[in-house]
Amino acid sequence: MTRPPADGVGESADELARLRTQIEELDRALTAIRAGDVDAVVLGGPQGHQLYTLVSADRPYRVIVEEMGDGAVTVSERGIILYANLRLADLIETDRAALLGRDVTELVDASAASTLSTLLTAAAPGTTLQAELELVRAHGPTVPVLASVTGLDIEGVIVRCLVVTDLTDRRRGEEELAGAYAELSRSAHELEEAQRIGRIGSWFWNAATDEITCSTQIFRILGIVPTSSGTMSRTALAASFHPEDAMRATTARERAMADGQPFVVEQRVVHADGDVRQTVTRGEVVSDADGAVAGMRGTTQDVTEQRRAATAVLEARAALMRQTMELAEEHRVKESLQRAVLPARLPSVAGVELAARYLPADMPSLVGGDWYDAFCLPDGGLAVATGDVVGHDLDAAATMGQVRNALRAYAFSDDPPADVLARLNRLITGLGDSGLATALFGRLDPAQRTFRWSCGGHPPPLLIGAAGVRLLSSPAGPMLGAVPAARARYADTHATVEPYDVLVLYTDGLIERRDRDLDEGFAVLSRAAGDLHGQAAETVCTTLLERLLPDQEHEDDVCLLALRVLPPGGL
Amino acid sequence: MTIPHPRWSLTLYVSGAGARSAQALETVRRLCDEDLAGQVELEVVDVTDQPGLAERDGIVAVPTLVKRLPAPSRQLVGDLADLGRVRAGIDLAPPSVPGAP
Repeated sequence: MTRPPADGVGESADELARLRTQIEELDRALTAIRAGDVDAVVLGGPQGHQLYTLVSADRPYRVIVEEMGDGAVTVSERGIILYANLRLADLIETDRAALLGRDVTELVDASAASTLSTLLTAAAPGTTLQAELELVRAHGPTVPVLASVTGLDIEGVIVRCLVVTDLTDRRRGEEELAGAYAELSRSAHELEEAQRIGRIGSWFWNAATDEITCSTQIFRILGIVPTSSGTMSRTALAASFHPEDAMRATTARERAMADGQPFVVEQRVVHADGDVRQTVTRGEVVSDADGAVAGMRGTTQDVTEQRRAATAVLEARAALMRQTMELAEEHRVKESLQRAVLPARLPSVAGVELAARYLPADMPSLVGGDWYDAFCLPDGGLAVATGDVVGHDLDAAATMGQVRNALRAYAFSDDPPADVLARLNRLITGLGDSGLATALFGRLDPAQRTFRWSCGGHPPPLLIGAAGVRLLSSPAGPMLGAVPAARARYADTHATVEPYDVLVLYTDGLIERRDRDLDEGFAVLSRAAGDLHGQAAETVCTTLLERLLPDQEHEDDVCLLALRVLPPGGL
Repeated sequence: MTIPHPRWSLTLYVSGAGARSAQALETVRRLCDEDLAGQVELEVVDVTDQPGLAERDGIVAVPTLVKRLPAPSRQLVGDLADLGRVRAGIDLAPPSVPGAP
């Protein structure tokens, strides 16, 4: 104000009007500017007046920044957020307006705050620095990003532009790649192990390079050190095989190339130490998209052990077959012998009813020397005998036949049973073939109701009487053939039998068991016969076998002879 | 974060790309943190994004700081780099210095 003060009130009113006018002009100017009625304003500055356009020239860049796929932030020198694009706000799930004025380090994980600060400070105007950081999201896990910071000097004010690229997909891709690689490595390892265990290797022949890519196991089978490339030429491969077999592979390969069919070829591999291995190679043609032969792939397996095992199995099977046939033949012969020496049918005698059983041993090779006999005597009596030749071979069966026939001959004399056994013993010891046998021989007189018998090393007969069951004890003579004739003593015993009594003669197979002694066996037999008095001879045989050998299993053969005394005049 | 009963209500209009805006934002941020911690609600508006808000307050240039509370309302336009000038413009006494009268 350079004007001197004038007359008080009038001057003040003028001044007020002038100011009002000035304000109105300024107001109109502002209204015009605000309404967009001007293109530019001229403003004073250090370098004089400058023209500032009101339609922003950097609008296109702003649009680019808004629309770009990366997050963009400008921060002040102290790290205050001046601007953030929508992409960044979306990335951290935050309202964009709320980001302005905040400290930019609040955007990252606490552990990365100092990294970001350092990065911002270090980014001098005109330079760009990068670091990987984790952005904190309002909800959910952090977002991995690549942060690029560029320093900028705007008229002396330092601003930094921060561009963040979301690495989530890239990280996931990297993890998937790492996982896939690990899985692939594991699969490759498994495959190699499987090939090693199965002694089977895989190969691929590339038609273009004429090279064969081989798995590690192929080299092991060939007995050579793996090449660094894992490939071999056909010539080198052929050299590993037996010269006589090399042509087979060539022929098979050429045929497969011609007809496109898979091939199988067996070849011997000769190792450096002279070991010869048997291999089986299977292959097939691989065609490219046009149908042309691209190569062949296949496997080669070392089957040496399998072949050896198969040969051993075949040999064992043949040996078993031979043995089985030999055994079957021996069994057949023994059965024939046994049938020849056992009576074809039992005699019919007045006053006595007979039944008999013969059970061969379970083991087919163990046809025993057990036998029984029953025949009529000229005086109307009944001769009965049972015995057991020691051993289960053909010699035993032959001895049994001799004993049984000799006993028949001696029985027709009137000699007492003890003398019959003594003569039998003399015969066996005299034969000098060191045979041993037990025997029980007796005569039943139905009319007199007496049974007279003698025993050489044989189990005593069982009498099922009205008063009960008892084993008929007798002085035990020695086994036939065991004692020289001069010293062998046999004695007669006799017992009275009543109508309906049942006499049972048997061999030790009926009562012997591995898990019990002979006395227990006798007791079991007596109990088994407890309710059989008066029963038919057939019933007695059937019942005793059912009760004593219930499971039809017996290690030894068994003879059983039952005689029921009938009342005068029959039943 | 919301402030229960802010005694001060400030709105700063800026343009994200501008150097003056950057300086203004730094100054106002400092003012809020140092002088008015816990008793101010600061709204920062980028007029490029929200031109409607600029019209509400009759903003003709950025940066502009608007003081709504406490009354009377004030507008500061232009260079906001000087903290003392900003304090004076919104009727805020300088923070008491220990030992000063």
